[in-house]
Amino acid sequence: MNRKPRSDEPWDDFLKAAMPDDLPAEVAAGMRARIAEFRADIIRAEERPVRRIRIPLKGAWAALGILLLVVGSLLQGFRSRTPLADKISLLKADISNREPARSAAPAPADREIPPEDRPAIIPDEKETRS
Amino acid sequence: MTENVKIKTLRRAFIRWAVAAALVIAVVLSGFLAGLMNRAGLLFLLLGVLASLFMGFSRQEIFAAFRHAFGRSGSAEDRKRAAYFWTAAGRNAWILGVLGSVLNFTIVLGGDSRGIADVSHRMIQSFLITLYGLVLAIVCFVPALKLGSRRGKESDFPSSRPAGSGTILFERVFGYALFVLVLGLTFISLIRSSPPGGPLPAAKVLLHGPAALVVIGGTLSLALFLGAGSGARALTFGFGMTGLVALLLGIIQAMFGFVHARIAEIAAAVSFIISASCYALLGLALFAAPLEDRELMDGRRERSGRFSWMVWWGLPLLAFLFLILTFVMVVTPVKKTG
Repeated sequence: MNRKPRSDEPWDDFLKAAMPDDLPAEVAAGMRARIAEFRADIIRAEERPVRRIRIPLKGAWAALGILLLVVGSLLQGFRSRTPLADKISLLKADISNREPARSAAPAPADREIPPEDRPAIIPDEKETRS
Repeated sequence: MTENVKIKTLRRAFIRWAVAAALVIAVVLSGFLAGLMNRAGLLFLLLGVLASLFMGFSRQEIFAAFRHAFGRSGSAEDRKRAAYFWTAAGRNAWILGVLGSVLNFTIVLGGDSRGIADVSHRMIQSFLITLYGLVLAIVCFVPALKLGSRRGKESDFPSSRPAGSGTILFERVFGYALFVLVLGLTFISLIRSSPPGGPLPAAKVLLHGPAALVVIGGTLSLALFLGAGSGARALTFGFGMTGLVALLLGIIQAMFGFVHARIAEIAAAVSFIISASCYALLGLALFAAPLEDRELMDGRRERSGRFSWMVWWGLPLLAFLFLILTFVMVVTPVKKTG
């Protein structure tokens, strides 16, 4: 039961007063055709499994994108060879061989420094004794 | 009366442009900029910007923007559209300038050399294209700012028809075809200028599997997560963020390479940085930016997002800075341990 107060009563009365006769036949036919078309659209939309196809497709694309991203990162991480990287390697090796190289490895702690190369900040014990 | 004003305005605009052109020609002919010449890069930039504009704007919009730049008046709406066109042209010049540098850098590294000095010289030459791009962007911003500042004033002349919108299939196909042609010509020119000894084929050098997979995969995922409602902004976001992540990934790997003193690792990282920035910039210039332009010109969006502008200006700047870093990494000798 609809308990909502009827606020469109004046409009109903107005329309009834303005159009006391039935609708013209062609207008009624047009309306019926529009209603039938509207209903058919709804039925067609319900029958068509658009959503069921679209969502997996979108998911598949997203999965493919993530897969590409992961594969690319892994390939880069495992240092897969590319022509450009090989070329840069050759060039860099050439530069490193020609120029005095800076070693990134730390100097060994037990390395013996010859006396003549030692800094002359602390006087040699032998020299002090003599 | 109106006709006189129109002629005067056009004359004034013509004189201004003629003086600017004469100044540029005089500077070029003076030989002062002889060391700053990269013909292939300049050709790539000028024709590339033209091609990129055809990808996002209709013929009518392009002609209307040029007419407005030469002083023709119009309605506030027309001027607004013309101002946006010139802003987009400046943006494209900046992106393509950096892209040109990246491509030139790649070709130089992939080509044979007459020694370190020669390679270094040609690598530095590739940075010139960014300079050209920046200058061209500034030139394009002059009409954009002028038209933008005149917005809102009452028009002197009857309003011209709003520039054509809707489908721009012909322009888009023409734009992409022109870009491919320009790219081909630039490669031919750059490869010819490299010394004999057989540089690697351009396609071989440019095709970097991991970088392509990261950029395409990342963009695809981000665009799908953002959804269709974001429109072309999703592509801008995708290319921008994936490019940024790839650059950081590359630089971290390169730093590890220096720490481990492994040339192969450094080379892999450098090639990844260069290729990833190349693909991300290509995506921005060829797909994201033209599609956003079209959305705006068709009225599907009121204005382009601030984030998009940040990406369009920020990513090329970062790519350029990383290119300088890669140059430093390539010419810094390392004691080979593996």
